[in-house]
Amino acid sequence: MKQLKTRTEQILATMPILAWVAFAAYVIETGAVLYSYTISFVDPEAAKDVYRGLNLYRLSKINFWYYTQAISLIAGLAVSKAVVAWLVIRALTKFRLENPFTMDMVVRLEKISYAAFGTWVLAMVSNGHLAWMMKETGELQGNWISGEFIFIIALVYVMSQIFRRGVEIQTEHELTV
Amino acid sequence: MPITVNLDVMMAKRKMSLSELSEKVDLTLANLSILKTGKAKAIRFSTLEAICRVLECQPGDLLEYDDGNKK
Repeated sequence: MKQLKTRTEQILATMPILAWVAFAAYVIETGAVLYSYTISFVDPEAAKDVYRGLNLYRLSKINFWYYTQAISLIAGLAVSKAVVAWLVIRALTKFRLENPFTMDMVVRLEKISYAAFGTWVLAMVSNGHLAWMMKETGELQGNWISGEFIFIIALVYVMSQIFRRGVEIQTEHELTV
Repeated sequence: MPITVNLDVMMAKRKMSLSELSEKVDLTLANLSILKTGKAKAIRFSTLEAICRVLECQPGDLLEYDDGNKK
């Protein structure tokens, strides 16, 4: 039992670090994409490597408006993922294993599920837009979130509702004399 | 909640303070206060039994049902 508790504590201690890494990665991605886009106004060659080898040079040459749309969606998705990571960090740092069922944690979990759902919607819009743009230009490569991501979001939401019930049970227990 | 706890009434009848009752029924002052102020969500039979024994009363003397439709 003690070993199990220790392992859980270790996981809980490690998770905020991972969430911070993810948050930093998404912030860097957003910054890099927007930086490349800004530079591409002056030097169109910057569109050849927007972020980690993403080449949108030909797209920018075909239609700069399409290029702007693609950049907006990539940056928007990165910001959205960063927001989710930030909410996860906040929830994990506030989480206390000794007293996990608090209304504060319920609200945080609900916020995470809503933000993740927003990210999923944005990813689906991006996927649709990507497909349309590929048809229009025969150009563009993408690495977007898959639709199955929605199941994880649903799971987080269900967890938040379980926590809500947990808070109710705990309150009832505390008010039993 | 339509259940009213008349603990304060019974305590006044028996001229017993909350701290004295707390000692006699072996309940914390905080818990007795929750019960007295009507914030309690539930009451254990063991608690009810102890209070009835100390205050020499029936559970019906402590608890009252009022649905708010009384004329």
